[in-house]
Amino acid sequence: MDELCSVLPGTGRLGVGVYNQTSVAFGYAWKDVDVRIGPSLSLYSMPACGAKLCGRVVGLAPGGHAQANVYFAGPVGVSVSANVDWVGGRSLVLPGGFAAMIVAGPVFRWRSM
Amino acid sequence: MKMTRRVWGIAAVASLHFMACNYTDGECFPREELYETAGAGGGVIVPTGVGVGGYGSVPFEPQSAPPDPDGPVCNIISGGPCDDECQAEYDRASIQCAKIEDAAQRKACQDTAHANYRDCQEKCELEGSNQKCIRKYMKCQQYAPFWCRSGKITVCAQCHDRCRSGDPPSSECVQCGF
Repeated sequence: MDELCSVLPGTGRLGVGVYNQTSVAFGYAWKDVDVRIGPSLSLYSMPACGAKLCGRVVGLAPGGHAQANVYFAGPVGVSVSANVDWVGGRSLVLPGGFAAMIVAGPVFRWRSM
Repeated sequence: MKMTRRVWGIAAVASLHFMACNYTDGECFPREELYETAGAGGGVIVPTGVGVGGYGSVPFEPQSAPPDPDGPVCNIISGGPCDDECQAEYDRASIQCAKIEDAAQRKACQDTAHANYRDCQEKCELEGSNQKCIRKYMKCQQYAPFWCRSGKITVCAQCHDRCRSGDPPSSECVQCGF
Protein backbone atom coordinates (compact mmCIF):
# COMPACT_ATOMS: atom_id res chain seq x y z
CA MET A 1 0.00 0.00 0.00
CA ASP A 2 1.42 3.38 -1.01
CA GLU A 3 0.52 6.84 0.19
CA LEU A 4 1.64 9.76 -1.96
CA CYS A 5 1.00 13.33 -0.89
CA SER A 6 1.93 16.13 -3.28
CA VAL A 7 1.83 19.81 -2.41
CA LEU A 8 1.30 21.96 -5.49
CA PRO A 9 2.75 25.46 -5.36
CA GLY A 10 0.03 28.03 -5.64
CA THR A 11 -0.61 31.20 -7.54
CA GLY A 12 -1.54 34.50 -5.96
CA ARG A 13 -5.14 33.96 -6.93
CA LEU A 14 -5.75 30.28 -6.31
CA GLY A 15 -3.42 29.30 -3.50
CA VAL A 16 -1.59 26.09 -2.71
CA GLY A 17 -2.99 22.72 -3.80
CA VAL A 18 -2.82 19.28 -2.23
CA TYR A 19 -3.10 15.97 -4.07
CA ASN A 20 -3.14 12.82 -1.97
CA GLN A 21 -3.15 9.41 -3.58
CA THR A 22 -3.59 6.07 -1.87
CA SER A 23 -2.84 2.99 -3.93
CA VAL A 24 -2.83 -0.70 -3.33
CA ALA A 25 -0.28 -2.50 -5.46
CA PHE A 26 0.29 -6.13 -6.29
CA GLY A 27 3.55 -7.05 -7.92
CA TYR A 28 6.54 -9.22 -8.36
CA ALA A 29 10.20 -8.73 -7.46
CA TRP A 30 13.29 -10.16 -9.12
CA LYS A 31 16.84 -9.59 -7.94
CA ASP A 32 17.23 -6.11 -9.41
CA VAL A 33 13.76 -5.32 -10.69
CA ASP A 34 10.37 -5.02 -9.06
CA VAL A 35 7.06 -4.16 -10.70
CA ARG A 36 3.67 -3.48 -9.17
CA ILE A 37 0.22 -2.51 -10.36
CA GLY A 38 -3.06 -1.79 -8.66
CA PRO A 39 -6.02 0.53 -8.11
CA SER A 40 -5.70 3.95 -6.53
CA LEU A 41 -7.90 6.56 -4.95
CA SER A 42 -6.95 10.24 -4.95
CA LEU A 43 -8.25 13.11 -2.89
CA TYR A 44 -7.40 16.55 -4.14
CA SER A 45 -7.93 20.22 -3.58
CA MET A 46 -5.95 22.01 -6.20
CA PRO A 47 -5.85 24.98 -8.52
CA ALA A 48 -6.75 23.87 -12.03
CA CYS A 49 -7.62 25.21 -15.46
CA GLY A 50 -9.97 23.60 -17.94
CA ALA A 51 -10.48 24.62 -21.55
CA LYS A 52 -11.99 27.99 -20.56
CA LEU A 53 -12.20 28.29 -16.80
CA CYS A 54 -9.80 28.28 -13.88
CA GLY A 55 -10.61 27.66 -10.24
CA ARG A 56 -9.97 25.53 -7.20
CA VAL A 57 -11.24 22.00 -7.75
CA VAL A 58 -11.93 19.65 -4.88
CA GLY A 59 -12.68 16.00 -5.51
CA LEU A 60 -12.20 12.28 -5.29
CA ALA A 61 -10.73 10.35 -8.22
CA PRO A 62 -10.40 6.57 -8.53
CA GLY A 63 -7.78 5.29 -10.90
CA GLY A 64 -4.98 2.89 -11.57
CA HIS A 65 -1.32 2.90 -10.61
CA ALA A 66 1.73 1.10 -11.96
CA GLN A 67 5.35 1.32 -10.87
CA ALA A 68 8.65 -0.29 -11.85
CA ASN A 69 11.96 -0.02 -10.00
CA VAL A 70 15.20 -1.09 -11.65
CA TYR A 71 18.40 -1.27 -9.56
CA PHE A 72 21.48 -1.11 -11.73
CA ALA A 73 24.23 -0.21 -9.24
CA GLY A 74 23.66 -1.99 -5.97
CA PRO A 75 21.22 0.06 -3.92
CA VAL A 76 20.86 2.74 -6.61
CA GLY A 77 18.27 2.50 -9.35
CA VAL A 78 15.60 4.19 -11.39
CA SER A 79 11.93 4.27 -10.53
CA VAL A 80 9.16 4.98 -13.03
CA SER A 81 5.55 5.24 -11.95
CA ALA A 82 2.40 6.03 -13.90
CA ASN A 83 -1.03 6.89 -12.66
CA VAL A 84 -4.32 7.51 -14.37
CA ASP A 85 -7.24 9.09 -12.49
CA TRP A 86 -10.82 9.32 -13.61
CA VAL A 87 -11.77 12.93 -13.02
CA GLY A 88 -15.39 13.93 -13.12
CA GLY A 89 -18.23 15.44 -11.19
CA ARG A 90 -20.01 18.75 -10.87
CA SER A 91 -17.04 21.03 -11.49
CA LEU A 92 -17.17 22.90 -14.78
CA VAL A 93 -13.48 23.74 -14.48
CA LEU A 94 -12.62 20.05 -14.91
CA PRO A 95 -15.93 18.71 -16.18
CA GLY A 96 -14.86 15.19 -17.00
CA GLY A 97 -12.05 13.12 -18.40
CA PHE A 98 -8.88 11.74 -17.01
CA ALA A 99 -5.67 12.91 -15.42
CA ALA A 100 -2.41 11.13 -16.18
CA MET A 101 0.82 11.47 -14.27
CA ILE A 102 4.18 9.88 -15.00
CA VAL A 103 7.01 10.28 -12.52
CA ALA A 104 10.59 9.10 -13.06
CA GLY A 105 13.58 9.50 -10.79
CA PRO A 106 16.33 7.86 -8.77
CA VAL A 107 15.47 5.27 -6.17
CA PHE A 108 17.55 3.86 -3.31
CA ARG A 109 17.09 0.75 -1.29
CA TRP A 110 18.55 0.14 2.12
CA ARG A 111 19.51 -3.48 1.55
CA SER A 112 20.42 -5.32 -1.67
CA MET A 113 18.33 -8.40 -2.35
CA MET B 1 -14.91 -20.42 -7.05
CA LYS B 2 -11.71 -18.73 -8.19
CA MET B 3 -13.55 -17.47 -11.26
CA THR B 4 -16.31 -15.96 -9.10
CA ARG B 5 -13.74 -14.17 -6.94
CA ARG B 6 -12.03 -12.84 -10.04
CA VAL B 7 -15.33 -11.52 -11.42
CA TRP B 8 -16.11 -9.86 -8.07
CA GLY B 9 -12.64 -8.34 -8.04
CA ILE B 10 -13.06 -6.89 -11.52
CA ALA B 11 -16.54 -5.63 -10.62
CA ALA B 12 -15.17 -3.96 -7.48
CA VAL B 13 -12.43 -2.18 -9.43
CA ALA B 14 -14.89 -1.19 -12.18
CA SER B 15 -17.33 0.20 -9.61
CA LEU B 16 -14.59 2.54 -8.37
CA HIS B 17 -15.03 4.50 -11.60
CA PHE B 18 -18.46 5.62 -10.43
CA MET B 19 -16.93 7.11 -7.31
CA ALA B 20 -15.34 9.98 -9.22
CA CYS B 21 -16.69 13.27 -8.00
CA ASN B 22 -15.51 16.84 -7.91
CA TYR B 23 -16.74 20.39 -7.53
CA THR B 24 -15.33 23.87 -7.86
CA ASP B 25 -14.62 25.38 -4.48
CA GLY B 26 -15.26 29.11 -4.46
CA GLU B 27 -15.09 31.32 -7.50
CA CYS B 28 -13.89 30.41 -10.96
CA PHE B 29 -12.81 32.79 -13.70
CA PRO B 30 -11.93 32.78 -17.40
CA ARG B 31 -8.56 31.31 -18.19
CA GLU B 32 -7.33 34.63 -19.65
CA GLU B 33 -7.56 36.15 -16.16
CA LEU B 34 -5.30 33.56 -14.58
CA TYR B 35 -2.18 35.69 -14.61
CA GLU B 36 -3.83 39.04 -14.02
CA THR B 37 -3.16 39.05 -10.29
CA ALA B 38 -0.88 36.03 -10.00
CA GLY B 39 2.88 36.21 -9.82
CA ALA B 40 5.34 34.36 -11.97
CA GLY B 41 5.42 30.58 -11.85
CA GLY B 42 2.79 28.66 -9.95
CA GLY B 43 1.33 25.20 -9.69
CA VAL B 44 -1.86 25.46 -11.68
CA ILE B 45 -2.74 22.30 -13.56
CA VAL B 46 -3.16 23.37 -17.16
CA PRO B 47 -4.50 20.68 -19.47
CA THR B 48 -2.37 19.74 -22.40
CA GLY B 49 -4.38 16.74 -23.56
CA VAL B 50 -1.25 15.06 -24.85
CA GLY B 51 2.18 14.21 -23.64
CA VAL B 52 3.32 13.36 -20.17
CA GLY B 53 0.85 14.41 -17.51
CA GLY B 54 -2.03 16.82 -17.94
CA TYR B 55 -5.73 16.58 -18.30
CA GLY B 56 -7.87 15.39 -21.20
CA SER B 57 -11.38 16.73 -21.02
CA VAL B 58 -14.35 17.07 -23.29
CA PRO B 59 -15.57 20.53 -24.34
CA PHE B 60 -18.38 21.70 -22.15
CA GLU B 61 -21.27 23.99 -22.96
CA PRO B 62 -21.07 26.54 -20.18
CA GLN B 63 -17.40 27.12 -20.94
CA SER B 64 -18.21 28.16 -24.49
CA ALA B 65 -21.17 30.25 -23.42
CA PRO B 66 -20.96 34.02 -23.64
CA PRO B 67 -19.67 35.70 -20.47
CA ASP B 68 -22.27 35.95 -17.74
CA PRO B 69 -22.51 39.36 -16.07
CA ASP B 70 -22.77 37.57 -12.68
CA GLY B 71 -19.56 35.63 -13.38
CA PRO B 72 -19.14 32.18 -14.86
CA VAL B 73 -21.03 29.14 -13.58
CA CYS B 74 -18.50 26.94 -11.79
CA ASN B 75 -20.52 23.78 -11.04
CA ILE B 76 -23.14 21.70 -12.80
CA ILE B 77 -26.58 22.18 -11.34
CA SER B 78 -28.79 19.26 -12.32
CA GLY B 79 -32.28 20.27 -13.34
CA GLY B 80 -33.67 16.74 -13.31
CA PRO B 81 -33.78 13.88 -15.84
CA CYS B 82 -34.91 16.09 -18.73
CA ASP B 83 -32.03 18.54 -18.19
CA ASP B 84 -29.60 15.66 -17.74
CA GLU B 85 -30.71 14.29 -21.11
CA CYS B 86 -30.06 17.72 -22.69
CA GLN B 87 -26.62 17.72 -21.09
CA ALA B 88 -25.83 14.23 -22.35
CA GLU B 89 -26.91 15.18 -25.87
CA TYR B 90 -24.75 18.30 -25.66
CA ASP B 91 -21.76 16.26 -24.50
CA ARG B 92 -22.17 13.90 -27.46
CA ALA B 93 -22.40 16.84 -29.88
CA SER B 94 -19.38 18.55 -28.30
CA ILE B 95 -17.24 15.47 -28.73
CA GLN B 96 -18.16 15.37 -32.41
CA CYS B 97 -17.44 19.11 -32.77
CA ALA B 98 -14.02 18.69 -31.16
CA LYS B 99 -13.05 16.29 -33.95
CA ILE B 100 -13.49 18.98 -36.62
CA GLU B 101 -10.10 20.34 -37.62
CA ASP B 102 -11.19 23.58 -39.25
CA ALA B 103 -11.51 26.21 -36.49
CA ALA B 104 -14.41 28.09 -38.12
CA GLN B 105 -16.39 24.93 -38.75
CA ARG B 106 -15.63 23.70 -35.25
CA LYS B 107 -16.90 26.95 -33.74
CA ALA B 108 -20.06 26.80 -35.90
CA CYS B 109 -20.61 23.24 -34.72
CA GLN B 110 -20.15 24.28 -31.08
CA ASP B 111 -22.51 27.22 -31.49
CA THR B 112 -25.16 24.93 -32.99
CA ALA B 113 -24.68 22.43 -30.16
CA HIS B 114 -25.00 25.24 -27.65
CA ALA B 115 -28.16 26.59 -29.30
CA ASN B 116 -29.67 23.09 -29.33
CA TYR B 117 -28.80 22.73 -25.67
CA ARG B 118 -30.59 25.98 -24.83
CA ASP B 119 -33.65 24.90 -26.87
CA CYS B 120 -33.65 21.58 -25.07
CA GLN B 121 -33.45 23.31 -21.67
CA GLU B 122 -36.33 25.62 -22.58
CA LYS B 123 -38.38 22.61 -23.66
CA CYS B 124 -37.65 20.98 -20.30
CA GLU B 125 -38.71 24.11 -18.46
CA LEU B 126 -41.93 24.28 -20.47
CA GLU B 127 -42.68 20.59 -19.92
CA GLY B 128 -41.93 20.98 -16.25
CA SER B 129 -44.26 23.96 -15.86
CA ASN B 130 -47.01 22.22 -17.87
CA GLN B 131 -46.74 19.19 -15.61
CA LYS B 132 -47.01 21.44 -12.57
CA CYS B 133 -50.13 23.10 -14.01
CA ILE B 134 -51.72 19.71 -14.72
CA ARG B 135 -50.97 18.52 -11.18
CA LYS B 136 -52.50 21.67 -9.72
CA TYR B 137 -55.58 21.25 -11.93
CA MET B 138 -56.05 17.63 -10.84
CA LYS B 139 -55.68 18.65 -7.22
CA CYS B 140 -58.12 21.51 -7.72
CA GLN B 141 -60.74 19.21 -9.30
CA GLN B 142 -60.44 16.78 -6.41
CA TYR B 143 -59.90 18.83 -3.28
CA ALA B 144 -60.69 22.52 -3.92
CA PRO B 145 -63.90 24.12 -2.59
CA PHE B 146 -67.04 23.23 -4.53
CA TRP B 147 -67.36 26.64 -6.22
CA CYS B 148 -63.92 26.05 -7.85
CA ARG B 149 -65.19 22.89 -9.51
CA SER B 150 -68.74 23.95 -10.45
CA GLY B 151 -70.02 25.55 -13.63
CA LYS B 152 -69.67 24.78 -17.32
CA ILE B 153 -66.11 26.05 -17.38
CA THR B 154 -64.79 25.51 -13.89
CA VAL B 155 -62.53 27.97 -12.10
CA CYS B 156 -60.04 25.11 -11.94
CA ALA B 157 -59.99 24.97 -15.74
CA GLN B 158 -59.65 28.75 -16.05
CA CYS B 159 -56.79 28.72 -13.56
CA HIS B 160 -55.17 25.88 -15.45
CA ASP B 161 -55.25 27.98 -18.63
CA ARG B 162 -53.69 30.93 -16.79
CA CYS B 163 -51.02 28.64 -15.36
CA ARG B 164 -50.16 27.22 -18.77
CA SER B 165 -49.89 30.63 -20.34
CA GLY B 166 -47.55 31.73 -17.55
CA ASP B 167 -49.88 34.32 -16.02
CA PRO B 168 -49.75 34.79 -12.24
CA PRO B 169 -52.68 33.18 -10.39
CA SER B 170 -55.66 35.40 -9.62
CA SER B 171 -56.98 35.66 -6.06
CA GLU B 172 -59.71 33.11 -7.02
CA CYS B 173 -57.06 30.73 -8.33
CA VAL B 174 -55.03 31.09 -5.14
CA GLN B 175 -58.13 30.09 -3.15
CA CYS B 176 -58.56 27.09 -5.44
CA GLY B 177 -55.03 25.91 -4.82
CA PHE B 178 -53.10 27.50 -7.72
